[in-house]
Amino acid sequence: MAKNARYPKGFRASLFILVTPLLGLRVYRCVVEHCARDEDAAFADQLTPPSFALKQCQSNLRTYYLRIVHSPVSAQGRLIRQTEIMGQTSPCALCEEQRLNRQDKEPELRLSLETRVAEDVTVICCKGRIAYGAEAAVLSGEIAELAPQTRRVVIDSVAWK
Amino acid sequence: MIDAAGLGALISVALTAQASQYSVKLAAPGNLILELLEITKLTSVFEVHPTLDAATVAFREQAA
Repeated sequence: MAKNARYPKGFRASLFILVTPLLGLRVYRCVVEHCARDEDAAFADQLTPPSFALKQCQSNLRTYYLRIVHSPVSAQGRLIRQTEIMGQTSPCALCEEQRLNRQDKEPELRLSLETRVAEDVTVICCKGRIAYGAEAAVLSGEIAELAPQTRRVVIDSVAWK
Repeated sequence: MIDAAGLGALISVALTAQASQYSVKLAAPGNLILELLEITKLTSVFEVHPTLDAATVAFREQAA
């Protein structure tokens, strides 16, 4: 006797057809809601524009969802895969991980200024990057501080790594 | 590496120098930075020297 004889014929196929899109929608809604929350955090951190973070999350989700739904595997395989996603790797956790990774990759200051006076010339050795944010402000501030003390300034090694 | 804000900071330095009547020279910029300074015509605002020594000598010659 077959092990699934208690189910009518076609029951499993019907179940997959009904459950698969519902699970997909649930995953989609969960990630979109989280991305909206994540957007606020990203904006607060001023790491990346919030709209970019949201779009990135949504884009990743679409890719993820389409890969599952339209992949050339059986309906059962898709159902198993979706269950794995929901059970093991929460999309919310993925978004949080991405946000933390971005934070890790962005140190606070990537510019080192070393000021020394050689005879009557003030030399500012400037290594790193001069970019939007703290770095540009630091350079301007350093020059403004030196302005009353010196008449000759050399900015050395401009933005060398 | 330098971006638009960095170039803005350099321009700010040039303006501050002009207002405070002191002079600023750039020394030993990387090739990419030099190219960027040329593209943005900042080489006409700043004196750019290949080495620190060259910049220091230029100051001395101006004073003499």
